[in-house]
Amino acid sequence: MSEFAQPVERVPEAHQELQSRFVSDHLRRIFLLIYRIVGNVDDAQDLTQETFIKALQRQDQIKDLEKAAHWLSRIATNTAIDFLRRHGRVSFSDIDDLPEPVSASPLESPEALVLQTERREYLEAGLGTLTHRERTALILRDVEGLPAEEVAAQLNCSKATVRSHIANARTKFRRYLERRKT
Amino acid sequence: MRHPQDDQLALFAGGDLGLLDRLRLRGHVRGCDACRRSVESYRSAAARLREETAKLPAGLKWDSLAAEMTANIRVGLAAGECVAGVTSKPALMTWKPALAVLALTLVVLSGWWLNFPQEQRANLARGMQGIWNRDARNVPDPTVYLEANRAGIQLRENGSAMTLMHPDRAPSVISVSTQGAMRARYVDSDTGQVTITNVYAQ
Repeated sequence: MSEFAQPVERVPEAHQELQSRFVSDHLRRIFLLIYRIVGNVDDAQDLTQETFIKALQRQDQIKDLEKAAHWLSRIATNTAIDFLRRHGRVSFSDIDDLPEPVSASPLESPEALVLQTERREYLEAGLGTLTHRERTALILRDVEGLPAEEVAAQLNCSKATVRSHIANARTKFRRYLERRKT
Repeated sequence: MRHPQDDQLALFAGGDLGLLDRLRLRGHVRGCDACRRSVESYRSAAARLREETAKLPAGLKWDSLAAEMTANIRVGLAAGECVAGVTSKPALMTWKPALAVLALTLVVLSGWWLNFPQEQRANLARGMQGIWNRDARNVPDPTVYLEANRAGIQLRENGSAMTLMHPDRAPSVISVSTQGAMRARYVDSDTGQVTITNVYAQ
């Protein structure tokens, strides 16, 4: 029998269900985490998929769901950081470049949507002033709420270095917000 | 009054200072309006960042994007399983059978060795040692050999050989010197001419 004709062992149905639930529970959180780091919807989409595929190929790791969530965040951060290392860039999607048209929720008026879009662009431009390490450190510490030791472990640097990244990022970001206020 | 550096205030605002620095800054911030405002401003910037980044990018249709990503993840996993199914080959032998085969081989070899006649065993051992000593070190035998036979006198050294051929007939006398020389003397029966060949080895 040729090796291509060998039957592939199928994933049990219960496990497939667990995988689907795992994806739906964490998809949005992981997408947002990666998007905040890479700043681009298309890249964030690819990297989110890559993160889940990497995670689900290690089936034994998703038995403990709480640990799995933490572990998934770590894979996501590493995947995003590796991507930035390879490409050495952070670029924000222009709203006009998004593949899907802007869809207004029935609860939001067009004015509210425009305002929200402006706020988002303004904030993203502020994040764009940071280096990718500062930006990642800031997001992991201030948005994800990870302790500095964990951020240091994820960025593969010392705690002193990560504190310096966090301090620089906070200072730059605050200055940006203040400049834009005046 | 000496104010703390901006980066110290930034770390203080997020609770990232060590105990001593935190206590020192807390005391200063309580009594300094400018630094208190600065710390509040850091905290407000962080709160704003958290609030805004919890939202999806403006204009993004999440439902369709999520469905697309979920489908792609399934395809990626299925492809991974197929590749794993094709590329992963079963191990030829696990350690237990390998150990059993090794033990059996040792028993057979020992039995064969012990049943070998004593003299042949010694010869074999010497031969093996010679092969090992010569081949393992990959050094040609440096000894010079001189040998006389019916063909002539042969000189062998470092794995090479040279033979000084006799005339058709066999030599009448061959003499060997302990100084490392060999001599062959031929007498032509028809003419009575005498030919002497000397080979010296150094």
